Amino acid sequence: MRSRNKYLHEFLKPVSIVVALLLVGVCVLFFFLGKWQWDRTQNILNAERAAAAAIISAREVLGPELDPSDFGRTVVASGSYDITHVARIGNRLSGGGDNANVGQWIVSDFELDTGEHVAVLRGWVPPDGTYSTPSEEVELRAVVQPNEAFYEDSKQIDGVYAVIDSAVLSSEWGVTLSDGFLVVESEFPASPNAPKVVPPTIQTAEVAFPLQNFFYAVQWWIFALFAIALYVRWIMVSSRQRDIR
Amino acid sequence: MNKIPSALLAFRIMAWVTGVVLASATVWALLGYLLWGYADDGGKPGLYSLLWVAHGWLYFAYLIAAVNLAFLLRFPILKTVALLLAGTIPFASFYADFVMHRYVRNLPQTKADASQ
Repeated sequence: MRSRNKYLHEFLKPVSIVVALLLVGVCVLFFFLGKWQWDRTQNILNAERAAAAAIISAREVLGPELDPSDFGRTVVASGSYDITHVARIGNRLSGGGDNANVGQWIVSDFELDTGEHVAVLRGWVPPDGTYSTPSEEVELRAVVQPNEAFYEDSKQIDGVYAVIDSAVLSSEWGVTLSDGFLVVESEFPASPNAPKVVPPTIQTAEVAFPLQNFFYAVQWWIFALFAIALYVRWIMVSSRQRDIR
Repeated sequence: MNKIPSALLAFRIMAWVTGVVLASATVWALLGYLLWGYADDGGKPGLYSLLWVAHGWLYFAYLIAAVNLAFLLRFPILKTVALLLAGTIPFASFYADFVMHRYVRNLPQTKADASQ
């Protein structure tokens, strides 16, 4: 009780009150500086997400080595399928739970108007099921995916592959394919008996988290707490020193 | 036990570490904005951003070391605040370290003993 009175007495001294008012000002300032950095963090994230969500031409993304930040990005590409270059990927499910059906994925060589080739996952068919491939030029809307890197030494058995690997398909088809592959979302014009479109594994392109602004926000708020702690300690030490005197 | 020498050493270490990081980041920023067009494209290297973030966290350690020393030396509040702010002004922490060492060296023995 006595020590509480001692601190209260110290706190009510004019100089302590002035410092307390300054402290409130500093804390408010630091809070808003932290909030400003927090808002900047959110704005940068939103801008990056909007940029990553914008649909761009496949040509801007495809190449010998994909940029991992483009995985999950939606692109458009116009060109035509090479009906002689088709691969079936085995043991792939369509649907989920009890209604899941085992079938195959159909991967085709797609030649862009500009001459580049890319492996395109057109969709799912039942085992050895039939499907149609448009012979004329089509416009694809598709999602960029990395090669399926698991089972590196996977072999094709009876013409059916275990995974999609653009390097393997390049040597099989004798063309230079882009790294990774595209998962079709839609084909225009639509084929009457096209494989059933499958969802891409990676659905949204990753964006870099603005760590610097996020840490600045946290640091401003910790500075405010530190200022309060400093004030409390100053009151305690001052009252103790008064006691000694 | 006299706590001042160890508090002074802790302050010296933090003043120099924080000071070197802040000075490097400041020189880098000046070169970046004046010569390398950081203001235009925002394409700053990762290490540059890391340096500023590192200064923020190192400054906390500096604050703790500085507050500890200021309380041991019974500094008034304004002097304490000035010591704390020295960690945010480029090159000021080196001067603060120099001043603090001179202050402690010239301290009457009685004051040093009182804080034992």
